[in-house]
Amino acid sequence: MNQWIARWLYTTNHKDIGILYFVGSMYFGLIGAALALLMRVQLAFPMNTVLSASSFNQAVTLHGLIMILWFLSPLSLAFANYFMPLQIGAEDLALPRVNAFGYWLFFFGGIVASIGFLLPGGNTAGGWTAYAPFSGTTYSPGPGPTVAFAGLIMLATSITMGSVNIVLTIVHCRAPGVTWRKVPMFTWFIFFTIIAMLFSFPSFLAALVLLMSDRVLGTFYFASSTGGAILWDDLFWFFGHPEVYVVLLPAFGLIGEILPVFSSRPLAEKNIILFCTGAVVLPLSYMVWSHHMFLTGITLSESEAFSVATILISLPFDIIILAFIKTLAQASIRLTAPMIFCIGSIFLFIVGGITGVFLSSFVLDVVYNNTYFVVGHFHYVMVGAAIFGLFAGIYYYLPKITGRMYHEAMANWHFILSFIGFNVLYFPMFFLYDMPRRIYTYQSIPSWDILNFISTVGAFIFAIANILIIVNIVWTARKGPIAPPNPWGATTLEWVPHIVGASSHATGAAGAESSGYHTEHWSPRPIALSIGISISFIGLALMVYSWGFVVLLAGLAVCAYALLGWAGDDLKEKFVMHQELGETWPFSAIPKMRFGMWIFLSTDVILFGAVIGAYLFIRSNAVTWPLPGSIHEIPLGLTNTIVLLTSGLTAFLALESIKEGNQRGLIAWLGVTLVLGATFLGIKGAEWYNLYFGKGFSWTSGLPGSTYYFTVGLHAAHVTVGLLIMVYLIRKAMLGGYSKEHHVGVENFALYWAFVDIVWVFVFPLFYLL
Amino acid sequence: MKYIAPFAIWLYLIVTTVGEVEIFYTGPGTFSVDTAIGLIAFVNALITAYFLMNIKQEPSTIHYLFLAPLALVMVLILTLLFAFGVR
Amino acid sequence: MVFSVLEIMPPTVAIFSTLQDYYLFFGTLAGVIVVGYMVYAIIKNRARPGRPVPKFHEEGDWGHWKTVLLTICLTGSVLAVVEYESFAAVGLINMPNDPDVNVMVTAQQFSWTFTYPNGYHVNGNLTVPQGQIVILNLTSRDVTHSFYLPALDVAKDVQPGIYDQLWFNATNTGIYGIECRQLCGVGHAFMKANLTVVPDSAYNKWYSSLPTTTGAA
Repeated sequence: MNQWIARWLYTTNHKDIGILYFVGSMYFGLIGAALALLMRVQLAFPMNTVLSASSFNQAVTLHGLIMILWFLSPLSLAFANYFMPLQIGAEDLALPRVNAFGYWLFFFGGIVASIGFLLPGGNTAGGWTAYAPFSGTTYSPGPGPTVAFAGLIMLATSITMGSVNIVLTIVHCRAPGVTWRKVPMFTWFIFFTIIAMLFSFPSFLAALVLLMSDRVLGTFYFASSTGGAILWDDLFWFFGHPEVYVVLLPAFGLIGEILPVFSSRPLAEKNIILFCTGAVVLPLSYMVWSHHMFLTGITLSESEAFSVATILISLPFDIIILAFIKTLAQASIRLTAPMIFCIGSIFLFIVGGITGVFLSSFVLDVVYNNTYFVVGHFHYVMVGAAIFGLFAGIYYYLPKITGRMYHEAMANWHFILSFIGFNVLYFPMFFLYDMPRRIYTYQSIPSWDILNFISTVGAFIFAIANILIIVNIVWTARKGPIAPPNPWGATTLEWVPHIVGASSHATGAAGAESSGYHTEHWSPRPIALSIGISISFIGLALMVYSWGFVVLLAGLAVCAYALLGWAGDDLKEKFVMHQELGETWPFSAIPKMRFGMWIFLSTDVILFGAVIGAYLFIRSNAVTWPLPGSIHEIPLGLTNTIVLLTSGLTAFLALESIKEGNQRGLIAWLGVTLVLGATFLGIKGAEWYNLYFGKGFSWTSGLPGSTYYFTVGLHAAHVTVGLLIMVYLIRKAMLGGYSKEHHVGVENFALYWAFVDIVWVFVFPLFYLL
Repeated sequence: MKYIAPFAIWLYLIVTTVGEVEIFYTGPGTFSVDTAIGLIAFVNALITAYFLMNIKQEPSTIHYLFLAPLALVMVLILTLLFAFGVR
Repeated sequence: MVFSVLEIMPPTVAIFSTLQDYYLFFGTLAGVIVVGYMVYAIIKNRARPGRPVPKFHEEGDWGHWKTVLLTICLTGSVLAVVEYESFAAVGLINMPNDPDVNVMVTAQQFSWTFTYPNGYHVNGNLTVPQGQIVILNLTSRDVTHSFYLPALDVAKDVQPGIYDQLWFNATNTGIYGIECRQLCGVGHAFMKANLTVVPDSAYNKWYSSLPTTTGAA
């Protein structure tokens, strides 16, 4: 295959992946913008017929999903991938192949979701918030919504893996001398963004998998009339609120870098800004989500509590903005393109943030909820603050990425036109606070007519203005004047050429070229696995037709091939990163990979917490529930529990063996654990056989069936993964791959297996005894 | 035997799990039995985490790291359970 | 909404408008001050050749944390004031104890059905007496909808399997629009109904003459 194509498909280099994210996010951004323009054309005039109701509903749904999840966050990840390792002096991300895998999952996830447009019945059309029960098969039938949710599952998985990777890098891969005090603002903000992602995306993933189960398997999680809608609301918005900070904070991080450089002074109140951002991310952003649910019938005390919490979360943002302004107040300001976009972003955030305070009132929300006032508010913060900040970052870092300077006058025009266009597009929406959201057309009312028309005019100005940045980027890459290595006089590490890990730090095009062609860092497994997963999900959705099963099997075959290849690479130790030990406080005593496993397990806690929480919610609201002991075979469950707990012991003993260098002991105990784990699954299979065929108790029998099979099934899936890992470990041990000094894989497995045990310690009594 | 401690933990877990089931049979579905079972499960989880997961050997920063998602899960579950108002 | 002397502002509108005015006042004031100061600072501090770099306050580890704390207290107080006003306006949410009329509202794709206490039900039109407290009990037959009455500033989400309530007091006669505010399918934009407010005596006459089974659709 052509070297250039092979490079971009197989790369695991962080700068290459940064560029891939950049191009990918721009691609999806253009699609999202096209959908938006179609909607604005439709809404420009009353009773317009450009889009039918069905097309409009699909457009508004996919516009939201694509812009938030496939454009804004990936664009931030582009910056994070490219620059965060440079800023901390790391060779690459902690897990480069996982990084590549995350990228291709994101990219193919978007393609898979878009396929919905082509399938009969069209794509999902219930808003990006996908409220239940509308999102189920009764009201959104067909394979289109199913593939859309499949694409979302791929994206959520991509982001969860990416978060573990980035946290691991920032904590464990800093070069010597890069203490937490010296970590630059952008990396700090990426760190906070990732913490927001880490604990919120598993909740989204849980909700999506439950929804997929409802759609494909016929369970009743969101279809039940006793609170299915509220269950989705809580699980979704528990993710949805931290998500908005995920979208915003990288832009603030870029402002934190750019503002001081062009003010010729350090950022004011820097540590306080970091403290405030940390407070926002954890715990505040996880305590306000019900302000999206004020009108759903939650109790008054819940509304009041979340209203107060929402006011509280505005306080740290006040401080951050005031600190930014204080930086400007005692400065010498150079109004370059990055700087004016930063200032524009701050201004638009102030407008958006103040309107957010309006929405925090549970009384005012009665009138504003689900109207264009809300649409105006979130576009000011998500497009205004976030996008303008990201634009600032693009101009700021373009000389570093391409080695050439952009066209300043074109950038200035980009700002003027996009700022004007943006405000003409979104400010009228605050006056449309009696116009419901997501209506595809309206009957003529003079105030609505004129405001909608003005808004559409603004949309076109904004769209045309934003073409300028694409033109500018292309022009710069080809014809821009060669820029010095540090054209802005910045003081952070990414601007200094030829530091630790020279190949990582060569500037501009030369840097990208030299690192991209290290073929020993190429791996085809990430893209192959992503393609396999895509085909599998498409097959799953197409199981409404009988031949869908064949597609599913083909996809699974590709997955198996890719995974075997990946495991084979690991057995041969083809991709081992040798990083000199740098700054690792406060986790110095823990090796990198084990710390990574702990972080991964913390996301798994949220996943199981959401699924078990769903079960508790459904059970507490159900009118009837079978008496404990009336359905499940308790002696069988007890035996199974004993089997699993014993396997936990033997896994522990396996680890102890290799810690003493006893390879045969390791293989023996691992073998016992494998047999016990397989026994667990066998007994479980027998139980399920009896329940299904003997008692007719299946996941479609009702709520008890749905919750039992799904929760226990999710646990069984984790056990299965553990068994596969054990096969790999035993194979590697037989090849002599583990020793007294190097047995990180066994340690990580023991951790994972103990976690699986702990989950069962809860699940067993919850379903069999209570 | 060198592995007294893990075996002892394992034995404790098996005995208490069987105990859970025995307690269950004394009064399935009653509040006191449910509470007892819940407590046993909770303690067993802690013990498994502490000894078999070797949290004991990890620096305390890991202990705090794990408290964060557990606290968030509690917030989610508590809100889910008390979400409903007048029906 | 301008109310002449002959028309009385409905209580729900009054509550909402008062609160909105508070938020608008403080919000606009805050925005103007902060943005104004920022623009002033940028214009004043533009780098010009020959202009020395102005001095900035040096900071220790925690910066000017006392100033920050003071700022938090100040902004917190302003926010507390508006939040307090929200709590004081909770009357828009709380159900009154002595309603005069109780109507069951069933939402479905894509229409509204109103059922009166005597069992009479009608699709697409809700008749209520003027100046009386009306409580609506809302539920959905299929997906989540949202009942919205812009003229009286009241709204509530309508969920399947769940009954929820809102109240209003229509002080002026006339016909007002009811809309759906939660995307519920292809008919969402036209899922409308009418609220017909008639004088009290006319309502009583109409209500007592109703058949108690199926009404006009």
